[in-house]
Amino acid sequence: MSAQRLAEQFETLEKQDHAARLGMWMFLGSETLLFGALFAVYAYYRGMYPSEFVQALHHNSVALGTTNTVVLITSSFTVALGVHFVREGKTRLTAALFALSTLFGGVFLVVKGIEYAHHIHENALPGGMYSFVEQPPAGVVLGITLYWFMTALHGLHVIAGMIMLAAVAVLCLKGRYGTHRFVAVENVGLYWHLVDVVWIFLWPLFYLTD
Amino acid sequence: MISAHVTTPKLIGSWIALLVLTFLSFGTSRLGLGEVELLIALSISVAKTLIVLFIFMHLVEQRFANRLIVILTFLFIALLVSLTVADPLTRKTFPPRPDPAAHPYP
Amino acid sequence: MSQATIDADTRPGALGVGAEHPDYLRADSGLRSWLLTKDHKRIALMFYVGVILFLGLGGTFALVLRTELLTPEQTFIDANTYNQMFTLHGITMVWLFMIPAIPTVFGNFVLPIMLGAKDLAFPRVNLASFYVYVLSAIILLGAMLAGGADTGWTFYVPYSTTSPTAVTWMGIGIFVNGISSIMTSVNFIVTTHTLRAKGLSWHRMPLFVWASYGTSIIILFATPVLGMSLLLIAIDHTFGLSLFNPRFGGDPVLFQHLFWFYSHPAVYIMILPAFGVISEVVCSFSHNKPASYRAIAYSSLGIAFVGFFTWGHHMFVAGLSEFDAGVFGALSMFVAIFSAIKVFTWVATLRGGSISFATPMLYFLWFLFLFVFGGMTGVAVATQSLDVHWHDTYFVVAHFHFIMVGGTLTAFLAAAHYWFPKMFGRLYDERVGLLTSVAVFIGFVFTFLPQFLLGNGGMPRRYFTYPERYQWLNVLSTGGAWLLGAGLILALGNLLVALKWGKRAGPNPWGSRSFEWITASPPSKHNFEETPEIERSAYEYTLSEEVARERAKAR
Repeated sequence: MSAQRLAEQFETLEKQDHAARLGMWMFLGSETLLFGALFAVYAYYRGMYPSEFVQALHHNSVALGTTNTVVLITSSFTVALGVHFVREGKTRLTAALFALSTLFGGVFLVVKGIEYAHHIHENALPGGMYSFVEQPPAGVVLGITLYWFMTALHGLHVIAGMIMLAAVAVLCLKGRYGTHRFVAVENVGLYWHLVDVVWIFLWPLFYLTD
Repeated sequence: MISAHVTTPKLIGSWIALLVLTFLSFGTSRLGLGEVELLIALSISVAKTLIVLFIFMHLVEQRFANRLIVILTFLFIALLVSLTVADPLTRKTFPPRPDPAAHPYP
Repeated sequence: MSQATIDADTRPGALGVGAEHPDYLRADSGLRSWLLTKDHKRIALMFYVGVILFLGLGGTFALVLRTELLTPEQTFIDANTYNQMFTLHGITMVWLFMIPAIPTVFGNFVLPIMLGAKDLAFPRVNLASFYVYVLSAIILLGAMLAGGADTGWTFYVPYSTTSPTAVTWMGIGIFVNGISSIMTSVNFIVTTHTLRAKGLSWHRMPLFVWASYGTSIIILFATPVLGMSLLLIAIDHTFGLSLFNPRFGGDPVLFQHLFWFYSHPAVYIMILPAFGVISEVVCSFSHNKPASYRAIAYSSLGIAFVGFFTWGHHMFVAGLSEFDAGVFGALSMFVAIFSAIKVFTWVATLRGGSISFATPMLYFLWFLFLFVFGGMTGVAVATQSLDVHWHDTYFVVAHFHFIMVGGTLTAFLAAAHYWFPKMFGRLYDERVGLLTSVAVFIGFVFTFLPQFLLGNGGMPRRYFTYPERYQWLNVLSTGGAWLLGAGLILALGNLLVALKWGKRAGPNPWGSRSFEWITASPPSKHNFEETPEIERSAYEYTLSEEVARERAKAR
């Protein structure tokens, strides 16, 4: 089984697994810089418009935002547990935990959707579509635009992560992963943790702005 | 290669720590401390990130190369943000913020 | 030949490791075996065809530009077409030729062999990277046909968000291109970490590997920022995101920050692999070990790192604060230190070596001259007080063409000649090679040296007409451009002829001690049947007389 898994360019399975992990970490680093650019935009405009920028984000619901933070952290925890158990060969448990995490991701998206619906109702929309207040002072629209763009981009990552988690859960049940092969499971887990980490920063920046 | 091992109790402990930090962050944001608040909130976020990175993402038991990637990522984001933000914060010759009333844009 | 030991030199008559197997060009046949190959060497060749095509396309745009500037008034294209031409020239040359050129072609081909590996760590990702590159090329070509772009390759807001041209698709094409670059760089870094042969410690690796490693680090961390800024432009252009719109308080200078955070390091993405090639060429043709291995290796990483601190020097007159401008101006000088370390080390490497003036070596000399010239003027334009005078004039155009064309293109040509026997097992015609190299150099100098004078005299860039007093310099520049184009076509022709009619090269025609010459030329499909064991560094030229005799025989 494991001999088939070894690609010809590698000498040992250990090296091959190390390569897969390192590649994933590098991909995640690259992905983080994608958000890094937006964090720079955020910091730049918040520096330019300290009060107006914050004022624009003020009507975000702290309760919903905090709920989502707890949901994502818990989903991260269940994914970490799942990765832990696949190493011990308890693949059914892993599949269950990953399915649960996918469910948490769904809950996150539903809550996010409720928030978005609220914003649309208030016309707190990005760019030229904004009309929450007449004649907004400079900086307000930028805050709302960034909020939409960054959370929507994060939402896309959540969706991508959910698809991968669900796929791994199904493959775990089919017996593809186990003690003999688990790096792919780990890497999907890593991706989900990245989604969590990005949210850990988005939450104070967009909700805890008092 | 493995020097430390992530165990189930450690995972549960980290989860609880993350939740506690979340409510700590939420609590301090209600105190009305002004500008310092953002600093505190971001420091707590960094602490949470470190927990996720080292325990959930098993960085404690992995090779240095993987940690190097994390270090470089943080370094380059810090660099991008700080050198970019230094610009509007230190502008003198140009108005730090364009005034739409003074310069109406078509 | 079960266990290849790299210390065993390829003696006259020996065919190199893996010569008993069919080489990679003949191992499989049929279109399918090429299009679906996972062999890094074949993927490299497919990239080779791609980047040469886009060099031709970008070069054609450049010749149109130069021909238009032959006379002070309109020569044969109107102002809008001119704007399109310089934008498309920039986009094609930067993203479709220069950034992928050396890493994807020569990096892909020789890096695994240099490490004693059978392939890159992720062969499928490597193939995907090629198809993503093709996809980006299709998107960009489609955008060129459906409206083009007239913003300049820098896409500065606010114009780029309102331009009637196909800015959105250009942005998306470049975003996709970035994905391809990132895939390649992940592959290179992971390969360097995990697939080094037994005994190949970090300080025994060929210097080209160090340069590729540094390049990959830059690509990995800078490209996403460019992707994001162009994505913002694309969304703004289509849906009116208005993140940089002054009407809502946005600041167009912020876009320049994001753009140059990538695009300044992008200069090092282009030039670092060139440094790697040059390090290999100078050691191989002076049959000498580098004057200081660590100086060259670490300065590659140093440039990769410091290159991230310097982007603000593109924005001195854009409204950057004096404080930030001062910081960036000072940090920019560090790049000059690392570059100077490299230049001095290469020159010192020549000392005491037995130098042979083959075509790659000649390109090395041109590189040295042009790069030093371009680098020195770079220090000048990074000085704020001088930059105010030169900003947006032909001086800047001349400066960055000296670095990019004079540096990257000459190194690309040096690599194309140096590794030609490795890739195809044949020797090109040395006399034609030398002549075309001289033509390229003279053409280059005539194209861009007058532009320094034009810029200093006040001719702004991106205008299609100019006052009559600039004409004689423009005529010189245009003439030089045609000579440069002719030289490139002849050089390509020489290599194409050698592909079919060149003499058999043997495994190691240059007498190089670098590891990629241990295998047969061209290498077998798997490079090595057994992972080799390496017992020396890549630059031990202790047998220089014997090597010289061997080289004389091969010619």
